[in-house]
Amino acid sequence: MEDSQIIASLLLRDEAALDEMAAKYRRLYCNVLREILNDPQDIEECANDVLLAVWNSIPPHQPHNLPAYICKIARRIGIDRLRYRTRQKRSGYETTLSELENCLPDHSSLLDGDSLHIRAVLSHFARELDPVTQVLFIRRYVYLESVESLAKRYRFSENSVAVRLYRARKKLKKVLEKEDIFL
Amino acid sequence: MNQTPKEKLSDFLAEMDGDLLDAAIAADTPEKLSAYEKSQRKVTPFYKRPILLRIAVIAACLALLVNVLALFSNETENPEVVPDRPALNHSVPTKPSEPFEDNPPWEEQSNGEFTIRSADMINYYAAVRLLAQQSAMKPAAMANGDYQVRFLDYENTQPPQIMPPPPPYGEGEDKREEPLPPETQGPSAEEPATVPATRPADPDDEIHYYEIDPGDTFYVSKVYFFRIEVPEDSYLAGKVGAGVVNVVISDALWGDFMITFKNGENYFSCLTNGYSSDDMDFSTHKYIEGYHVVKNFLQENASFHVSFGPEGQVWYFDENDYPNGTFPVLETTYVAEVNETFTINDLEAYFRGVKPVGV
Repeated sequence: MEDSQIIASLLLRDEAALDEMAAKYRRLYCNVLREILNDPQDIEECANDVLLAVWNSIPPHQPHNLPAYICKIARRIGIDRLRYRTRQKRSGYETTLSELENCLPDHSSLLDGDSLHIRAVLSHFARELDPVTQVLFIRRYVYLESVESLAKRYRFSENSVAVRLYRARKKLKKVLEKEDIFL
Repeated sequence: MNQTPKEKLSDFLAEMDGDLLDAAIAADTPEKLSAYEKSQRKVTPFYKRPILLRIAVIAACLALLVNVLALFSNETENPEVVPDRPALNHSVPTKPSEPFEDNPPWEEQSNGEFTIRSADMINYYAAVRLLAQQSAMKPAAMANGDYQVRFLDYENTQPPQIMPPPPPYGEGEDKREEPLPPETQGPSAEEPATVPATRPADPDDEIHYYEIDPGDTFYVSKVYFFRIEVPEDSYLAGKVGAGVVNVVISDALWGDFMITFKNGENYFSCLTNGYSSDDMDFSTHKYIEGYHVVKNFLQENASFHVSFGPEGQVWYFDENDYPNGTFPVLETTYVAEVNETFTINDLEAYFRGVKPVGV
């Protein structure tokens, strides 16, 4: 079933659309959850929560890109579950957090910045990256795909992926410092 | 719940513009990524448009001619000082370097005057410095059993039988294109995609320039150094001159391997098309011009192929359009695998004989 048909069925509250969506994208959103969570039971429960969240959000939302929309929901649910747990082994999400720590300006504090401004700055930063680095950066730090997986997917060396991400993080740090963004 | 700054950053990244996130998810194969890259190609700045590029090339050639005439007409007091060159690396080949001597390249220091002027030099001298530094550590490191530089004696690690030379032009399965003059429309489309030596002329294609910021901090993790003997009738001789040529392969720029040839003050670099543990391919469609990586499919492609032995030693070097076999690989291959960041200032300070701060 095409994505447009799945969305149309969801808008008509046809539950069969959920089965179609799960059959088509379960592997995708479970991969996102697996990067965040270690426990298979948590992953299984969160996978079901993803379906429920999509059902509850369409309508009113009508995403242009269904897989990206599902991944975003999976990411949020997975992170919420991770935060709820008090003890976790180092997960893919925590690995990306530690990498992002190097992007923060040296004198970061817990002050809030203007959220809209920060989102605009980050979007502009991503657009300024070359297309390949842009895709790698977003898939790594938004969708939490591992460096190994990215290297295999695009037939790059892991070193090449790591270097591109390293340079992008350095540029991000400069951008945040220049924009006086404190998180 | 209170979030740490990095958690906030992570969440904000997930809230970037939807089209960016959608595009990243959609580009989930190498082919789709390539298509996305093509769709996002930068608009070349006005001054780099093809017509103006030709004017710039003519102006650069005139400037080069003036410099060459000046060199021949005047004895310079300090022969080590290299006169200013235009950004293009297509200089007139000068006298080749001295015959190979049994000393590694890091002893060829410039005694005070040294300036990095192009990405070729970044790639080359980053590799040489890394090897020199690791070499200096070698005795103590070897005692610990974890030295990083491998000095591979070519004579003791002989390659298998030399590969047969490629078939003559026009015969056999490998079709090879005659070298094309610069004004041609470009290659034909009949070669397989993995060897982009030919493809049809595409009027929408442009020459792409990717700038390298000389103020950036660079990162290198693996370097090779070896020497080859370049025959006079080869493409490479037209770039750097015939004779013994130093060769560096490193990942100091763009995270991808780049090969730099150095003969005296002539440099020529191009980027890899692909590599494995056994070999690397470099395409002259992707080359260095000053501080730019240039992707230019309108010019002739004489790709280079490097074959490695099991220890990383260079066994064979080929210029793919050269009909008379491989180029002789001389003596030792130097290999180092060490993660290091550096700046141009670090390189210049090192080769001027001043110890960089912090080392």
